[in-house]
Amino acid sequence: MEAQLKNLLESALAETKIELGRSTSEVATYMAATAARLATLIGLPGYEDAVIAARNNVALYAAIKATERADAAHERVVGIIQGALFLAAQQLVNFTPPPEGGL
Amino acid sequence: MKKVLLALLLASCAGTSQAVRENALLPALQMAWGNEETGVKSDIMHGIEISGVPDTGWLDLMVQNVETALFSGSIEEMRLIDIAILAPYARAGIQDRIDSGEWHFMAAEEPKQQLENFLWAWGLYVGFEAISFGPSPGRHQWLPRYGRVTDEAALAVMAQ
Repeated sequence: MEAQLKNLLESALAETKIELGRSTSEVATYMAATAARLATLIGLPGYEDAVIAARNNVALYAAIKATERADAAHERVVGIIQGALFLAAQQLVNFTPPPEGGL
Repeated sequence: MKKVLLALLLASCAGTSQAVRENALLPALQMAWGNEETGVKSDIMHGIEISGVPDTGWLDLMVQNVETALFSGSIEEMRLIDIAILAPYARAGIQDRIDSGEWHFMAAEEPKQQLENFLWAWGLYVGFEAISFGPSPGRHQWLPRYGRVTDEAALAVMAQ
């Protein structure tokens, strides 16, 4: 059962071609929690639909994490560039042209 | 030269972010959307069916529009759809399956979570500012919390 579930979840991740990067451990924790939850549902009405929804939840969770990581990295780099531009602008404002014939 | 490098760097960063959206977020959204039998689409359609709304034509059309936009992957098309309008129907559909005994309430937690993740991922894909929910105090709590408020308002209208 556990092996089947693992395969199901892994195939979901493979289907979506998710690049997890640093999020792998978070997704692994989420997967483990999901598997543990599903184990308590065996035999209950709606179990099969719960398994499909759980697979989709892992894919969505992983994709959300991957996107947020990319966005955060993007924002950080943009922030650094903006900071550099601001400093450059400040330097331009403070810039005093050398007297003619200088330099 | 510096300007060109800056433009290239910004473009490459935006490209990474967009690539993750297209390669990870969009396929996950499409998978969770599902079909008439399973997934978010099934929950919405069931909710519409039991809603008692006299003419559900516009809702059925909206579901079709969601599917078309989602599988085209066009952010512009997806931004034209206020997915929050359909969310209460999905929740009502899930609740009806619990009430009818089709799903145990514990088993229904996964479809419930699937819907919230779907809404969150949808917002992330199209950009939160594009969704007409109003200002966001914190996007992690925002969609589910506001969704419940929207539910109450929408279900009250449905009941009239």
